[in-house]
Amino acid sequence: MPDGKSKITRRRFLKKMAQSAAIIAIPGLPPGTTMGEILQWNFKEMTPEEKREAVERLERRYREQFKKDVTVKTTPAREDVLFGYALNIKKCIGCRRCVYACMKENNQSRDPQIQWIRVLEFEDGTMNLEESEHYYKPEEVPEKGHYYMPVQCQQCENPPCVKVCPVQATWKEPDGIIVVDYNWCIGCRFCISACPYWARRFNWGVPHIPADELNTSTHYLGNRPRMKGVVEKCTFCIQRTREKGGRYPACLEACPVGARKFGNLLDPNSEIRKVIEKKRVFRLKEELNTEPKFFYFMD
Amino acid sequence: MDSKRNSMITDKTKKTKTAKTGTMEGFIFILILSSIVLSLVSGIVYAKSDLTSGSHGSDGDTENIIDGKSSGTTGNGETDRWFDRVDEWTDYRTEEPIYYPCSRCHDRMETNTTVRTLKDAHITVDLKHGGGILWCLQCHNADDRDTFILYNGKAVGFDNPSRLCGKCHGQIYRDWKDGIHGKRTGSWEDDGEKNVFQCIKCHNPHDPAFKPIEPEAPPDEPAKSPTVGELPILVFLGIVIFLGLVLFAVRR
Repeated sequence: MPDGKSKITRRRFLKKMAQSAAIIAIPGLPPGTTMGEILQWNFKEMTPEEKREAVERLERRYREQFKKDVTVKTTPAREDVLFGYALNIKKCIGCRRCVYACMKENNQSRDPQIQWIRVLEFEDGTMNLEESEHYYKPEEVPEKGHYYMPVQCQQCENPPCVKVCPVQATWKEPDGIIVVDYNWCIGCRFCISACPYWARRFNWGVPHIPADELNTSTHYLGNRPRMKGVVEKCTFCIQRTREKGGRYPACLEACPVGARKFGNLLDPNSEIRKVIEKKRVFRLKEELNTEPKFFYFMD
Repeated sequence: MDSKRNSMITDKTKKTKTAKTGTMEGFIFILILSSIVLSLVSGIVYAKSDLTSGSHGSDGDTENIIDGKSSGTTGNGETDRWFDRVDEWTDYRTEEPIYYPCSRCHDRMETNTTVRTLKDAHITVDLKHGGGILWCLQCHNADDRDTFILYNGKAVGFDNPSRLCGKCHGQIYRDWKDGIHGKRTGSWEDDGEKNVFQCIKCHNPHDPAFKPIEPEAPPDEPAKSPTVGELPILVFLGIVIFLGLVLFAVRR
């Protein structure tokens, strides 16, 4: 139609469509996904305004999906902080309390099951990671003649996963945490094949979390509920550790024997620094030069 | 005349040849097309489906473990099974000694320093600390039962039990003060609010060794092949292989 009215109508109509259309035709997308969420750019390049819009869209979608009010934080890294983790394999008893505390805190899918932490069981005197037992199920732990080593993302300083990502959906934050922008990840899984520690998990199916077990205090780069087709992994509980009066990660607080230690590597008085100075620490697959910030020690 | 007939014959043979190849090619074409369509259809069906773990084992286990009833996952001071030391002299929740001050009874009694197993009182205490080489008055102050005794004769109050542990376990006591040994919850910051667990919060002083506990469920085992996702590829490969065999048989 040549008259001016319909031109405006058409433009407005298209704009409205772009902003608010709910895409349900594409399989795997969660209900409530808008065009705005699909068209948003990489988190690293968002302006504060765009970040706010992205958070609003996500909070709206989560409210529709879980019928709960979920807060999505975008807390940035703190100055002069580089997080490090240490785990005492002499103390670990292989009880897996850390695995399930992590699942609950970080909204991991129950079905299909995703667990960011994997506890390996070794026979005393061996340390062959490829021959460790993942599915041990004795009556009681620790089993005689065995020791245990939980493995999660080692938050490498020289991460191979970041190098191989074709779209830069995963990167190293200034405080040392390797993060994933779930809306930018294309699900190619190069990072999973690059990681020497098998730290990353892929959402092969639509993740399911019962709404009453949902942790509503989330971070955009951390524990917010994910979608089918994206990669996820341990983020040192970014939603807890970055906050004011930073809290310990959930796995540390769940450990009944106090085997886990966490802190700021740049603070000479921190617990993690004392561990590194006073105990025999080692890292996994040191020869690959990934420079993990996850240390293991004995005492 | 002959050339015409010849050309007619050649034309006929040409025609029949074309007819034969035409049918064969058409048949193969339809088979390939249908296999592609079938693969696409099964691919779309798979993509639309929720890939739930059909062949995974532990179904009920996961739910029970994350319902909050399991112990030690909250880390807010709530204790696990063997933190539940029901000990006669202190309430592990409030850290208040129950029969304190001990001098209430012991001031009226004579001090008997003979090493023995008590039979008349404190019989609920099963002293296993040290594998049988320790007895009561090596920690409890014989001269003042409201305190503990150190090697240099100094007394330590009930408000500072960890110092007593440091009497023999010096390295562990130093590690505990540094945060290397023991459990802490709260803030990782140096000057943050930390909840530093006392030694006795985890270790029963009369039987400090940890007992083995039941582990949480192992992870679900990976699905066995073939899965729903491999269906389109299998369908396509099956038809291609079948076609190859057919062609091989026909062409000879």
